[in-house]
Parts: sequence; C-alpha cells; structure tokens
Amino acid sequence: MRKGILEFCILSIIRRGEAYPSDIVEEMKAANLNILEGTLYPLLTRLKNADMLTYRWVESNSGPPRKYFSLTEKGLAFYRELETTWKELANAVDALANKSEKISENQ
Amino acid sequence: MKKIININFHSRVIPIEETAYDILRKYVESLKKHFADEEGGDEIVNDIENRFAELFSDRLKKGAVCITDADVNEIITSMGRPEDFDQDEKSTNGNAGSKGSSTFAEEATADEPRRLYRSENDKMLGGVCGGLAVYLRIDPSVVRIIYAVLILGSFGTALLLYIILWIALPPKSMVTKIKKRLFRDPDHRVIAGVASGLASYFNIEVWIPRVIFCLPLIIGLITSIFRHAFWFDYDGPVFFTGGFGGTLFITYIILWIVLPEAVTASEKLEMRGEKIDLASIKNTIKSDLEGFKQKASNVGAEMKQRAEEFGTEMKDRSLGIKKDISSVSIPRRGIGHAIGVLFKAFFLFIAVIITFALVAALIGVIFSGGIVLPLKDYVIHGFWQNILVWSALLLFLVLPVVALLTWLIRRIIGARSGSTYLGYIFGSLWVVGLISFIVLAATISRHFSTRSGVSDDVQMTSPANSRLIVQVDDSRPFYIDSDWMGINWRHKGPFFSIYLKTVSF
Repeated sequence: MRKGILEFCILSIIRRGEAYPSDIVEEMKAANLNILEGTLYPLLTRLKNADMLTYRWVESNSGPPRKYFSLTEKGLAFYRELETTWKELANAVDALANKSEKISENQ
Repeated sequence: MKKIININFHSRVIPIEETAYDILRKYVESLKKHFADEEGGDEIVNDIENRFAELFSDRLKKGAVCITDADVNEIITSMGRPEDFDQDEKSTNGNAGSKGSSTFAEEATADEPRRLYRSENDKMLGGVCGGLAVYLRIDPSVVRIIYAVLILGSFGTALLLYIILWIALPPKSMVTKIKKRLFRDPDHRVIAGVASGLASYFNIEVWIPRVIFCLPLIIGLITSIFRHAFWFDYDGPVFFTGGFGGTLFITYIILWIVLPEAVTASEKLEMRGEKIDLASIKNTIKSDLEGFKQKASNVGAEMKQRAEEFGTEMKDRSLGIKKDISSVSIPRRGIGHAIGVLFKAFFLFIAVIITFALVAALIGVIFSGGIVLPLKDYVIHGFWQNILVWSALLLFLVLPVVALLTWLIRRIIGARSGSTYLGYIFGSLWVVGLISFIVLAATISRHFSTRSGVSDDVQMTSPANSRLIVQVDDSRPFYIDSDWMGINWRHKGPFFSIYLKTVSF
C-alpha cells in the first residue's frame, strides 16, 4: 500500500480515540486493509517523532505496559491536510475513470 | 524432548524452548539491523519486542506451558519480517507479482531506451536537451551545459543541429528520472545561487566554488595594482587573469540561465541528492522554516507546505512512477528566462563597474588627500563650501564603499539582513552626497568664472521712428584652443549681453 495512504488511515483511526498498535491493526483488518504489525511500529514512531502523535503508558495486569497513542494538535492539522489530498486524489481518479469520450488520435 | 530456558523478557519471566529462543533472537537481530539507520530505531525495536512479550504472556495465561517454535514463528509471521516492511512502506516497484499496480511503471521504463523523443515538460526552447537527458539518463542541466559548450566550440553549427533535432524528434510527455540534479540554490545565494547549487551537488563547502569564480578577478585586481603602482614596465603576459576572468564570468552566466532554481522542498532534496520521502521532506521544510525565524512558529504554513509536497508526491506515485524518479518539475524556464538573466547580468555588470569607479575615486582622494589638503583653501572658500566638501566626500564616496563592504561581508558569512530600511537609508544618504557634490561643483565653478567685456563707442543716427533696433553679430567673438591631437579649433565665443552704458547726444 502507498505510504501516504497508510498514514492517513492510521491517523483516521487514532483520531477516533486513544489506540494501541494491536487495536489499529484490528481496525484495519476490519476495513479489509491488511498490514503487518511490523510496518505499523516504525510508522507510529516516526509520527511520534514528528510530534503528530503522543502516547502514554498504560499498565495492565495481563501483560507488559502498553503504549496508547493519541493525536496531537499538529497531528490533527496534518490529518486535515491528508484528508484534503486524499479527496482530491479520489476525485481525480474518479473523474478519469468516469470519462467516456474517445481520446483523439492526433498525438 | 526439548530444552527449555527461562528468559527475562521485558521484566517478565518467560519459559521458552531453546530453539524458539534462537529464532526469536535472530529475528530481533534482523530488526535491529533493519532499523539501524532509522531515527528512533531503538524505540521501534523495543515496541516490537514489547508486543512479543505481550503475546507470550497471553499464551502462557491461556495455559501453555512454554513458548514453542511454532508460537514464535506464528507471531513473527503476523508481525512481519524486515524485508516485508520495505514493501509495505514504500511505494511499489519491482514486485510486479505481489502488487499489480506497478505494471504501469514497467511499461514506462521499457519505452525509454528504445526511442529518442523531445520532452514536452522539461523544455527551455524545444525540449531537445530534456529529451536527450531522459534517453541518456543524465541530468538535463548537464546536457544543456554540454550543448552550450558545443555550440560555442563549433561556432554555432550545433545550433543548426538543434533545429534539425527540434523538427525531427517527436514530442512526448516525459518525466526526468535522475536522483540527484544540479540546481541553483536560491536560499544561499549571493548573486544567483549558482555557486551554492554547485556546492550542494558536489558536496563541497559553499565558499569553494565562490572563490573559484572570483579568483581570476581578485588576482587580476591585485596584479594590476602592482603593475601600475610600481611604475616599472611590466611587459609580461597577462594570461591567467585576462583570459580566465572572462571565461569564468561567461560560465557563470550560462549556468545562471541553464540551471533551474530549487524552489519546492523535493527539488531541494534532489539538489543535495537525498532520498525523497516524507521524513526528508519534513526535515527540509523544517530547516527552511528555521531560516525564516518569524515563520518558524507558524505551524499552519509548515503543515500546508508539507502536505502539498506530500500531495504532489502521492499523485505522482499513484501514476505508478518508480520510487527514485524525481517529481515532474514545473518548467520555469524558456527563452524569456534566458533574456531576463542576460538583462540582470548586464545590470549587475554595470553596478560592479560603478562600484569600482567609486572605490578608485575614494582611493585616489585618500592617497592624494594628504598632499592636496593645504591647497584646499585655494579652492574652497567659506563655511558652506567646506561643509559641502566634507558631506560630498563622506556621503558620495565613502558611504557606498562602506555599504558595499558590509553587504559583501554579510552575504559571505550568511547573516540575514536586518531591515529593508537600511538599504533605503543608505540610498538616500548617498543621494544627499550626490546632490552636495553637484552643488559644490556649481559653487566652485561660479567662483572661478569671470566675465569680461569690451567697451566701444558707437556713432548712431537718430532713427526715423522712435524705435531703435540693435543687432549683435555674434560670429565675431571667438576663441581658439587646441585639442589632444594638436589641432587648433576655433570656437564661437559665448555671448552674454549687451548694455548701453552712457548715451550722449
């Protein structure tokens, strides 16, 4: 999958609430997008280093503490930009796919 | 019967088969190697290990006695191997099998080596050099430079060849595909950013190409000063300074015309030959914005720009372009640009000459001043004139030199100019100096100008009407002077007025 689209999906999921990596993978599977967990961790770390995300450790009895990620302000702004770009892209591709006129031969 | 060991994995004791532990260890090693260069790589590996620990805990809680090979392999498969990360992260290229969208890219590349086209997008005149560049897979700017040299060397025949190619080659919309391109760097420029662009491309310090461009000029200056100051006849050849100075100057202008400016962040990355992906674009934009201190806090602008770059990138990639293709650069060129550059270079040249003239005048005044000072009073009289002399001297001569020196030093050390008003202040003071210089010249010349007249008695008869018309034959006054060739010229004398002194009847 394209790298940018992946970021957009991840941010969309986290926007809805605090999430930890396993959650995110589950959500994406539910939406029919299969990604490897191992792809997710580097991406999350990069986004966190870019101040798009922040996390907190949550202790749990059933295992080691987990990182719960949430969007920062910067992340939210970035999300909006991504959303716009995605919409433009989707519209562009749609428009092309829906055209029915013949292409002229004088190239 | 397998040996089981206990490991302390993220503050938990995990019983695990020894063979399973080996598999786990190797996997973690490969992760570490994969993320070795990544910023925050340690954290990533840590997170993944933590996830493993969590899953191990789960299994043990559900009643497993220990972690087996199968468990480890299962988790590794769901996590993914380092090789798989790359394919997921970056956009597709070679793996046409697993990701079907790359066939687009395959076709695009398959086309290139077979035919030579001229480029629709990347053109200054007709896109001949752009097309050549894609065909030969080199930077179009390099092709243009070589072509320019060819034209000069072949006395213009190459120009004919260009026209033939322009007619013969069919145009095709194409994308240049090189990783590192030669640009001009508009952020680090003294004149046009040619030197900085070259420095970035070759990865050398900025001042090196700058000095190379200026070197013949400086050496020429110094040697000419020596030649003239020491008054002995230097008949030696002026080879290095004479020829080289001109050539490098023309080279600079050619590069100025041919090389595009690196404006967008991805172009700046290309200039330095860095990988174009989100992280490096972010870093580039970050460093860009830090340069403009006042915008550094404006997050909105940064996000927008970054998303724009990102959006352009995404669009390109969705067309199936390979990951190392630079994005289509908007053609900011054309003949108009070349003519613009020539004009700019011309004006710059004139400005430099004026500067030199001022500097020379200043040096002359300084050197002769000490001797001439006692003579000053012969020429300058009065309070106002003295003031005018000093103001003219300081403001007209010294000021521009000082201003230019400060500007030069600032550019070289890269300090950002403080305010735009500084320039205006300097400019207006200089104009005051100029005006005082002109006024001074006027007053002095007035002091030194004299008039004389000729008195003559003329008999006149009373006119018939009561009107007397007096006509002066002004061809009669004349003076003669000789010019530098020794020829004497006769000039018409200036005529001021005639007035009647005494009329006696």
